[in-house]
Amino acid sequence: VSPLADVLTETRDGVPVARLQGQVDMSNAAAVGDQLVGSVTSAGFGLVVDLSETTYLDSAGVNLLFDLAERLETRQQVLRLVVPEGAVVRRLLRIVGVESAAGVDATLDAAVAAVVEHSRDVPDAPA
Amino acid sequence: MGDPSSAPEPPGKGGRHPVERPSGVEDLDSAELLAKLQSITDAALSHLTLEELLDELLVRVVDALEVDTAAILLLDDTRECLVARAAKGLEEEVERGVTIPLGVGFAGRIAAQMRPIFIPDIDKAEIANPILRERGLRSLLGVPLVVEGTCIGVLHVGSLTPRTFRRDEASLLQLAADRVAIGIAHARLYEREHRIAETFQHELMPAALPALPGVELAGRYRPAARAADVGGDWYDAITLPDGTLGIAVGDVLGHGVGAAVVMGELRSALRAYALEGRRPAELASLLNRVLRTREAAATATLVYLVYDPDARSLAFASAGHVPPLAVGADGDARFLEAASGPPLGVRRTVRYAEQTVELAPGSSIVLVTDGLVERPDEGLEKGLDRLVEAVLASGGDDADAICDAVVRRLLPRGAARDDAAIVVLRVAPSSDRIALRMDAEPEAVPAARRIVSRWLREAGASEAEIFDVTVACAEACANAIEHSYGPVRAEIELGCALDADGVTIRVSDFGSWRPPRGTHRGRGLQVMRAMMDAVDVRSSERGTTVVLRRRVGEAELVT
Repeated sequence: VSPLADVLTETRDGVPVARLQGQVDMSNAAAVGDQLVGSVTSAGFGLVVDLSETTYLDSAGVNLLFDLAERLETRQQVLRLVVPEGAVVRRLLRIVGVESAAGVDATLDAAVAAVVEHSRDVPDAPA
Repeated sequence: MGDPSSAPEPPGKGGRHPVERPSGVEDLDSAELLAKLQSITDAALSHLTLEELLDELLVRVVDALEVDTAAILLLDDTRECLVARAAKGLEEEVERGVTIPLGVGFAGRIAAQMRPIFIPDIDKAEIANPILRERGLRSLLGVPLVVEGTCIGVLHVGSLTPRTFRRDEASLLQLAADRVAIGIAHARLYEREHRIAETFQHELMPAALPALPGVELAGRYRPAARAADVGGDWYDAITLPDGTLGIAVGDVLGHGVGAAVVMGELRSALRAYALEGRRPAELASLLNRVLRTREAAATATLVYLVYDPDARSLAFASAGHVPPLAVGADGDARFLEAASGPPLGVRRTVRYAEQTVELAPGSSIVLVTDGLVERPDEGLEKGLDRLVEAVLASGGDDADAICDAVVRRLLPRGAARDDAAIVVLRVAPSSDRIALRMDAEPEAVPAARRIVSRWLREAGASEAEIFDVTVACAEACANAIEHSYGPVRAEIELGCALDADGVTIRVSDFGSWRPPRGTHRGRGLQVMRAMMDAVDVRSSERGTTVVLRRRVGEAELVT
């Protein structure tokens, strides 16, 4: 990934979490997208992308979130975004209607809980 | 019509047989002959350039044979024509660019038949070149210039009074011709190497430098005048993935094709490490290791700089290179000498020092190779002083103008003894407007965002406003970059202006408007509209301009 952005991955309650730090624009969106896709486990029920520390995002980054959500949906996985009150990217995400593709939570805990909740709704999903 | 000229002996192999004429005069005494031979085979001649060698040999031939004129004609590339190349007493032959078809006239026949020809009386001979008669010559003797069994030209002498040439005199002329032939053969090899080195050098020099917002970049390279001295000086500049600019100027020790090859290797390695994001000092240490791993040892000086247009900071490291010259907008000039280590390739491992300086708006950094500042009989200090003078005299308000002024003042009239390269980086002066051109490439977007956000901050915009306007600007740039898609390198223009009504941002491309496609169609436009007070898209045959308007920092805004 280009030095503009870092993707840090961890697992919370069995849910993969990718923290997107820094800036995403058309110069690095593809590389960041690859990293996010790479953090999805085929066995899991979804992915949490934490945008708390995202300092810049425009439609190049928004498009990659929509693509990611679509990709997960085909595997019956969900995408949850962590966008706290006061996050720099909050207004932008509302403008583009990101909720139509991914659930938006104010905290990481809520996002992880939502993915765990989703796993219970998908009885025949990969274990 | 018979042939009035004669070569009494049948032409022998290589045409080396002297011309024999019945003559009452005795051969030269051996001491005199030896002296004359010496003058033509003098080893010191080999240190001359081809031009000097031809000139000097003609003078000596005129002197030794006591003739009035001497001239050298060479076969051209088609091998169908002889072209006058050098002359004594017949200078107009060269000046007029006389050409003689192969096989025609005096010189034409010497070349075609590869044998000496003696013309005792010019009035009775077939002469193709009118200048010989105009000059009043009476008798002529000419011999072929032969290299490895092939004729490459003719050397001939002439006398204003009727005369004959003795066998030893003809031998002497053939000896001079052989000397000339070798000199020319060497010069041609030399020219070929020169061309190879020069081609290599030009291939490796950047055809165009990256255009990043907020910074001007210009570079020049001048090859050395002498063939063997070409090669080894280079510069390069690339936009790095984080939106900063990497700039390198270097000088490989040595010249010719070998130096050009080392330069090519260094340039590739530098680009690879630079794109990995290596900082200047670290990169210099890595390149040192690259040179050390070569089978053939090589040494080079280098200065590598990373300029961050957002922070206007310049980090650099030098491996024994001429120090960067920093010139402020106020004309204050100083050399940045702190961060210097040994040249690359000298030591097994080196840790280079790194220095970071902040550049004020309107200031410049001038990077040169020693070919611009070094002269044989003086210290480097003097050359550096001259560089400062030249930069200050240029007025310094345009990177290209600074390059041109320095080259003009420090490399007078082309005859450079060494390669020379110069790169100038100039920080845009601050103002209430920005007008810049940038590459229509995604890699230029981060730098554009930084410039715009910095400018907005200075204009009194709040952080939220900065975010909104910067996003809208990046969307407009993204559109422009997509329109500019094509096989040729394209640029886009970005203009920002501040007035009583807020900020106006203008992004222009010169491609053709294409409606947004794909699943994400129109999202950029949607974002722009939401972020700005007004969005205006104007398309014409010449391209598209997006004009964005927004009130900012209403409370603080002072106009």
